[in-house]
Amino acid sequence: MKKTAILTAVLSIVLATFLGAETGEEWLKKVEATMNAPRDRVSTGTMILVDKAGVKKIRKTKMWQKGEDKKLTRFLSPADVKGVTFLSLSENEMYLYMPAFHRIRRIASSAKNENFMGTDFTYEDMTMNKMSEKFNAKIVKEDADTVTLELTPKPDADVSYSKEIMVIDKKTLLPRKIDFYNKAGELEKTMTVLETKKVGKYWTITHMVMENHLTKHKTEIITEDIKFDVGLPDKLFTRRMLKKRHIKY
Amino acid sequence: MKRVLYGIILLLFTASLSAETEVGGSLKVDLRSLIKEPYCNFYNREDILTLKISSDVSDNVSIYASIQGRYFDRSNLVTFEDLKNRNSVDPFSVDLWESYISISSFIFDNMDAVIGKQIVEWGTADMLNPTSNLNPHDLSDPLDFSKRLPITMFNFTYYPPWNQFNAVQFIWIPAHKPALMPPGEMPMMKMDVPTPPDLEAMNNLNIANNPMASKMEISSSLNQYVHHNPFYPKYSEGGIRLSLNFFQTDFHLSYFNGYGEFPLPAKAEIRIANESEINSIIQNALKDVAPGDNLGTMLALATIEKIPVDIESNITLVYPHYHVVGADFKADISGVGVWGEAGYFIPYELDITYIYPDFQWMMNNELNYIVQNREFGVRYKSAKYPVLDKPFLKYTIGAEYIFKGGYHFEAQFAHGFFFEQGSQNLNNYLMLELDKSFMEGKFKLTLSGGGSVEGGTFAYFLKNFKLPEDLSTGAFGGPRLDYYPYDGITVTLGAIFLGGSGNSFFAKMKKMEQIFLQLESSF
Repeated sequence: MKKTAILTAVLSIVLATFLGAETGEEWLKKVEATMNAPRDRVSTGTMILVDKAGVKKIRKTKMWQKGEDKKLTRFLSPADVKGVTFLSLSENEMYLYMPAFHRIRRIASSAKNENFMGTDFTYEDMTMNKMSEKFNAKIVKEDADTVTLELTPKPDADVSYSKEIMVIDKKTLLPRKIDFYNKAGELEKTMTVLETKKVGKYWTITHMVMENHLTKHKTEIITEDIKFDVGLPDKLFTRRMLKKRHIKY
Repeated sequence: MKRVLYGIILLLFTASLSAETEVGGSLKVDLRSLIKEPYCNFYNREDILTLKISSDVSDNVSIYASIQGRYFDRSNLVTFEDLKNRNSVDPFSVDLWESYISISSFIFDNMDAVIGKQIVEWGTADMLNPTSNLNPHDLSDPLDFSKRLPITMFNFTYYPPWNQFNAVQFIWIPAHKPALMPPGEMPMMKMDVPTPPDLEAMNNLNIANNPMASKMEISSSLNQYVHHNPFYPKYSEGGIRLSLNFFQTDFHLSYFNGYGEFPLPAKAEIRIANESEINSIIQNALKDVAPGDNLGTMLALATIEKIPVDIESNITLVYPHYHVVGADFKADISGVGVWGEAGYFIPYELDITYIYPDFQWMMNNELNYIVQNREFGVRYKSAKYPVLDKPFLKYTIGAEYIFKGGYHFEAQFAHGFFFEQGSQNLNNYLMLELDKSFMEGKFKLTLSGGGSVEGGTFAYFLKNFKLPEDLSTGAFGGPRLDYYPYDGITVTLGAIFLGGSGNSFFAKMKKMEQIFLQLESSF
């Protein structure tokens, strides 16, 4: 096992030497390519919200995703949010269906900096698969297993962070950790990946935690029952599905 | 009826044993206290248990039902007999709330059907939706305008296969259902309806010097009858709504043909109810006076001390029939959510017919009539005025934005409140709301407020450079704190303040100023 790791590291250095070292931008695009590789995905998730006193709140969700943008998330529990369904088509087009109000509500895009349903993830954090559009990336550290990137916002990018430090796992091409610095330059949040798995031909994050250092609140997300490339139709990502009690996919 | 509903509850729980069936619900404890003396009391304490059941019968078919049990923690005692009545001593109610069948891909692959007792909300504005005329309001809590009564509907939505973000929805409602009115006073029922000028002038008539009228002791009674027969097919309602999405903006066009949820007067019949009693008083006074003895008759009439006159007013109310053409949109402009909604109400002509005593004739001729005919004389007049004859437009525009730090701000301007009907009755309302969650979302504080001003005030000001002297204005506001200590429970503490001048709705609701404490737990 140890020999394999050493061999991989040596090969990586040799390849980088012969093929030319990859830039931060290229590493970031690789991460995005890994995250966006499946045509679609279906999964169930458990969100564990823990406040600074240690009090836990647990939310269970089912999520359908197609391509980079289309996401449908339905809350399965607890009872007071059960049936609440969130549809995201782009940063500027998000809808929320709350069964108690019998109405689909369009969410103003100014909500993107807000926490999603009480978690430590903002709507913006949930679009990590499109970071190269908003951030410049440069390598600040590299070793045999990881590459560390410093991400700074592009001049016209509308983002909430002044800087992000992303540690990329060279094997899975997924983030291992991201530190989010707010506009005041403080370390606001850290996302740590606790587990990744290869499901079929795709690497994916199955367990991660986002910790807010300012509020001492954290959110753990465990993803299960992941299925890729199931052939989700476009019609799944419409307002029609928000109200449907039963989604067969 | 209640036994049947208990049976349904039992059936629901039995059904819940099936794997595809889910049972849930909530329990809400609601405690209210009025603020102002002499009303400073817990005017309402109520527990509401809602049971919900949903079952997937197959991939394409599901059923949903909810039952609401309400326990009112206040006895309603008037007579001793009430003490023997469970519903007076310990009132409660059990209602089948929603119950419907949902069918996906019904007839066509892209058509969904929902059939049964349900709530369908149209419009994109926040609560003040001039295009949402399908479900009537449930005003059992007069300060909650968001609650609607579920009604039986046949609801079909077709999604074109080439763009599933567009849709066309067809609704058929077999029978119109009116709004559930609040207990006690109903300020929303007070509309400006034309009145015959001579009838209105009676209020200012000087009767002190009139020999007959000055003896009259007038008492009045008012009976209101609602003309509503939902069994007639003409009380069916229908609507169609087209949903479109382009340039990342949602548009809707709608048409509704149906009835208003609040009745308007169509007939006002004012009668003197005790004519025979008045005649017997007159004839008793004239029993010793020979016919034709005019002087003797007048002297005898002068001995009458008082003549009781019971004036009975019978008002017949009907539900106005409308075509409502609606349009609404919601868009995002640089992070600001903006919306607009308008309903153009085209009424079927509605008139009010007055039948009323000709009081002016009585003032001038009653004495002579009695002298000549030895009986009380009443002549009735009739008059007809339009109540609804012109179309009118209600609209709402609004915007929301979430500022840095999570401060959510919303502002709405509405021309025409949900109960206002007829162009002369539409007022202008401004509503503002600011909310902010804090302590990791454990608390949410909402500050809301707003005001109203009579319709036409702005135009009057532009014309005269001053405000109308009898201007009616109103205002409301209050804080609300929601606390979410654990999953599935919300504790809410809040207050509502109301006030205003003249005839404004908020001024009339002044005595409903209250503080409230609510606990709601879901399971």
